[in-house]
Amino acid sequence: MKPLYIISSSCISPQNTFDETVLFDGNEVKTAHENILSCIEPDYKGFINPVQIRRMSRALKLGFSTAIDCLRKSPVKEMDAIIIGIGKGCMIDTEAFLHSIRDYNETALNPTHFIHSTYNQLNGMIALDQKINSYNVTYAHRGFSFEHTLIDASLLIDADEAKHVLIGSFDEMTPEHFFIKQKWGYWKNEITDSKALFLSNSPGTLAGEGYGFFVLGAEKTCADQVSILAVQTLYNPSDEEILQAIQSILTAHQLEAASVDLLMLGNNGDNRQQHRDELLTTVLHEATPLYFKHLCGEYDTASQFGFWLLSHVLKRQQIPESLYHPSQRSDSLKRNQVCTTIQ
Amino acid sequence: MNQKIVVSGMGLYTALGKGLQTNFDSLSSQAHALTPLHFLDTAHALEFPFGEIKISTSALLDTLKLPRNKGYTRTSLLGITAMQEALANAGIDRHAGLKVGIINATTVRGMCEVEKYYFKMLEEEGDFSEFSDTIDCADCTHRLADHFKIKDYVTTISTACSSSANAIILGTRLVNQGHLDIAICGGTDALTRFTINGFNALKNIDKQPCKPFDEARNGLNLGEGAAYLVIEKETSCLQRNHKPIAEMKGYCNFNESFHATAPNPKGEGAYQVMKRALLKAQLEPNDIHYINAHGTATLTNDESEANAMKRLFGSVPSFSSTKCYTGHTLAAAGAVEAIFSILALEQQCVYANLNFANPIPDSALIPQLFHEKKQLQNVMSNSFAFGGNNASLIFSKMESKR
Repeated sequence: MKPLYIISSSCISPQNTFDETVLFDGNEVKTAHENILSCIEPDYKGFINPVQIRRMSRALKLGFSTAIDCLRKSPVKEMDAIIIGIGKGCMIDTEAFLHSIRDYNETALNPTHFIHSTYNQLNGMIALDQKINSYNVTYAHRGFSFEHTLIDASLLIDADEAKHVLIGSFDEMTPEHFFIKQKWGYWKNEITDSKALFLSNSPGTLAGEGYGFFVLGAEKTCADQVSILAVQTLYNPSDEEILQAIQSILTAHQLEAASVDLLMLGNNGDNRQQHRDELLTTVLHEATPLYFKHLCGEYDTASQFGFWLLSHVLKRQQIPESLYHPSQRSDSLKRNQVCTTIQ
Repeated sequence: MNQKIVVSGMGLYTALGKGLQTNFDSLSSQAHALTPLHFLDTAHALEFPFGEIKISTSALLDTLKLPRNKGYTRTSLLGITAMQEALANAGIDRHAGLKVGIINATTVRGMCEVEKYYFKMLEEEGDFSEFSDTIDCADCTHRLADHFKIKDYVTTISTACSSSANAIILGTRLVNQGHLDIAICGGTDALTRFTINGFNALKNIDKQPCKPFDEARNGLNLGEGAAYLVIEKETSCLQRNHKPIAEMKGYCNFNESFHATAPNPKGEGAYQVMKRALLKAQLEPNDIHYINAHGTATLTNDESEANAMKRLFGSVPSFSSTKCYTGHTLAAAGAVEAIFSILALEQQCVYANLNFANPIPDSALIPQLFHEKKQLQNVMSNSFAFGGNNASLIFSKMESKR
């Protein structure tokens, strides 16, 4: 694949990421409240007109604001595609419509929640507001929804079908969804502080949510632009298949395992899912492992938050203290454009 | 298209029945399958006609010899049944050595089961883990991948009513750009209370069998179904001694950015997507001999689509909507109708648009009114969706030479 340059990005998360500098300049880390990390909402007035603010649901307002912010930051305004990945979509609307079907015995229902529960709503809203008449698609593929937006953008750029692509992903956590997944053992039983997530040694994780958008381009718009060289998803892989895939990516880019500086791990503090970390840190033995799920919580498109963080780490050549394992000490970053995100 | 991409297998399951032959026989005898609901429990069961597949979910499980209490949703089971036919039809029961991927589409996901248990999950003690993962779209895709042991590429698209048309487009691109040898593309959606009440709240459902492109049309009928197409390079298909069914000649995905749920009545989005698909196929408007229209029979869609066809084609070729046979199968519709279009090519015929009396005054277009034999070289299949997500596909006869 041709390199995909990250021209601009925007991220709304449970941390102060909408103001990009905070995580990097300060050490302020927001912690989970009763095992849920909820997004910090911006002042929507800067992004959405007042009539729309009243009409749009929370997930759509957050997603829309992130996308508009990302487009405003981009020196390139003409988008050739909009590609969005969603794990569960607008849960508040899905739940509200399920409730109204029951509460009103399937009669005289308001269609708004139904419309908003449709997976491609945000795609349509961004296209409509920004008059982007183009290729437009929504992936709804659980843990790989965000990765498929990268793959599709890469396909378009490889085939010269697009020069600039707006990609993004989002998922929202609701009290009801948290409660249901609690029953199935997804979350920690004990109230866990974000900072202590990786020391907990118990099953379950913290719940989270997040919104992120990126303008990707076929060409650089500045000298030190971070780029994506390879992206690959593996479905139910064996350890051997994971190692093979890493090796083939390294070989394709004439790299040694030892030349990878950083490894962003998808570890979510659930002690039932730790062995992959060992596999990865063993093969990429020189890479400093970094962690992000204590900052955003677990949700289908959480890898997007890790990806956003890494892109800023590379751009700034600076690693926020909060990304290290609590037992690690910080280390200076060698300059390199390779990064690996594993979920 | 850099290389000749072909459809080498197809399979489907709709209210018309299971399989290619059954569906084609119903279409050619002009027999629709819209009836009151028998299997789904909803207050609207007798109020509207539906394209319900006449089999219970437990009978589907039994037919496929799959276990109960293992979380197979109706959406997944319809998908597995249709994909089984598509793979057999493509002759790829064994796919050793080939890179095979699934690009699946769905909008209702496992909602068909979740809506039955949702409040129990919320309010009662007990283990409802069987359906714990079915609330998302990937569940049925993973079930398909696991059932058919496919893992080279697995993804799910959800762009409302154009979902599986977009799955076909993605599969074509992945094959064309060398990422897959074989792409199995399509979609599956079961009927649910959730979607029935959603469309009813939008006041979009006709109490009578729907009347596509008729002046007095009054909304759509919902249906359920699953359909998959096997897509590969012609060279790959011939290499494994299999006869291609049709050429995937052109496509376009285009967002018209007009309104959240309604199309531009002038048909700008529909016009652009059809025009760009023609451009991709390197064909002229008069090369298209049949259009399987989106034709939902809603007031806005048919007005907009008819205006677009008139503007693009001038003298509009034979066209019909087959949603008056199957109902609107949502995420499956794009693949169901792509298959109908290809069957029309294969059999050299065009389908009747049922329940038509008078044309829409503005465009005055009259759809194909009878099933008849017709020489077809290239056919077009349209899918338009909420949010302005439009898609158009063009398929051609294999020996196609312009």
